[in-house]
Amino acid sequence: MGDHALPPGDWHEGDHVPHVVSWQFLLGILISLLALTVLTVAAARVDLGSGLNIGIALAIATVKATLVAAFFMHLYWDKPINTVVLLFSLSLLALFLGFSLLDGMQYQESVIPDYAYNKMKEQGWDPAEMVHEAHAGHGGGESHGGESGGGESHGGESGGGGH
Amino acid sequence: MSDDHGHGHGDPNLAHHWDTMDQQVHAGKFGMWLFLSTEVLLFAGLFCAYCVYRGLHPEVFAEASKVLDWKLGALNTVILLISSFTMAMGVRAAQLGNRSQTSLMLVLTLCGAAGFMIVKGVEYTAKFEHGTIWAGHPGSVTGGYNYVPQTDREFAFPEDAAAAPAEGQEAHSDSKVAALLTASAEPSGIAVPAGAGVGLVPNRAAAPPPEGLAHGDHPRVTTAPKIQNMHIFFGIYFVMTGTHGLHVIIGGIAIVWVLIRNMRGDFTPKYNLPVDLVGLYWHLVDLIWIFLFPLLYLIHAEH
Repeated sequence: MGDHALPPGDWHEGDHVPHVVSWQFLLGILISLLALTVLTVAAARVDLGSGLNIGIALAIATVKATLVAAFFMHLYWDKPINTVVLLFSLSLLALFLGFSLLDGMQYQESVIPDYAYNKMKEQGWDPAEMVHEAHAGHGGGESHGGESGGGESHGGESGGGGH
Repeated sequence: MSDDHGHGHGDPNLAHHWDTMDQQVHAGKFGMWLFLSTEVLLFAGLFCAYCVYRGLHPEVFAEASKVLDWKLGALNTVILLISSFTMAMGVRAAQLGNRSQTSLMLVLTLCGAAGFMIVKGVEYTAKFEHGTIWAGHPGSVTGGYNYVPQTDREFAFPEDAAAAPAEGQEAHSDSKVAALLTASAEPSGIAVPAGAGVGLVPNRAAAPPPEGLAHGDHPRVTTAPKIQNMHIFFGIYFVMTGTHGLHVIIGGIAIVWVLIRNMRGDFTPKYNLPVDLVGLYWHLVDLIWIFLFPLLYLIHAEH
């Protein structure tokens, strides 16, 4: 893992002697990162199902991020406390995302039943009538349903009939 | 090479509250990592918004992502990775006390920052021209109440066609519908979901083109948004890449600062902490982009 050449100068007790990484090693990391970028693009062009595609993209990104953090950012040679700080924030990130996703999966399209319907009524015109007009314009001779027509499309999210 | 006098309190670079340079360096890096962890949490909020909205509207993300040019995104990824490498090389050169090489590497890193922002500028400009931007912006054609399909009458969802025949649709794509949509378009309020809950399907295709533009002849829409609500994606895209771009600019300013200090001869093999810390910041900017790139540019067509 890189050379351990002591930087020039005379070093004393208590001095901070940095860990100097060889340029060949840094270049190797760069090449790996570029190769993984090519892999990311290539993987995205193959249809493996959205879940697997996202998983692979994120897995490659995580490997790249690990390379950057460990070697470009020197975490590998640093005191472990710095890694602990990073992992701590990442675990909070995971908690945050995880719980938000749990919530998102339970999302209901319409929180207030018939919100849109009532909003339109408030504006002074009847959505049900419009639907009937639409059908009348096509089929012809259909009677205006008025409130009873409203009841038909009143049934919540599925409305619209064509779904 | 080093012009300081030994160690301990004799070193003018050693702050008086530290006993040794070693202490100062470790404390400085620890502090920087604490700051970087708050940066991770800042972006955590944005990634959260991304996850929730993509979870709810996978088709919107899959379609809207195609508007982005993945080649430009990949180019920016390569630019940032290389600049991250030159930054690491700059830190290395500073540790070795090689002043001219440090300057060279910092300048190369700056070129990366500039290149990244130029590519970003090209992308942003195209999006403003096409109107593929966040909702609420007057120029937006991607969704909400400004949504304008490329040719307004041709556009319809398959289920719309089934529910409301073309003639009926024609009858209702009038100002009445538009008036309602506009009237209920509170910027932050709950929007009336077009066609949801009321059986009013024709609305989706009924939004009139902006004033002064003929039907079916919309010069701004060169990238035709195919589906409604793409503004969700572009709102998130602009906030995420905008926040990231701001970090690139701040990182660039910080690099200029250490570059000036380096040319002034402030750094020695024993004291180069500022270069190291600016480097950490720059690498974090790279690290975030590593995730943004696949999540924004490489969404595979789903379902």
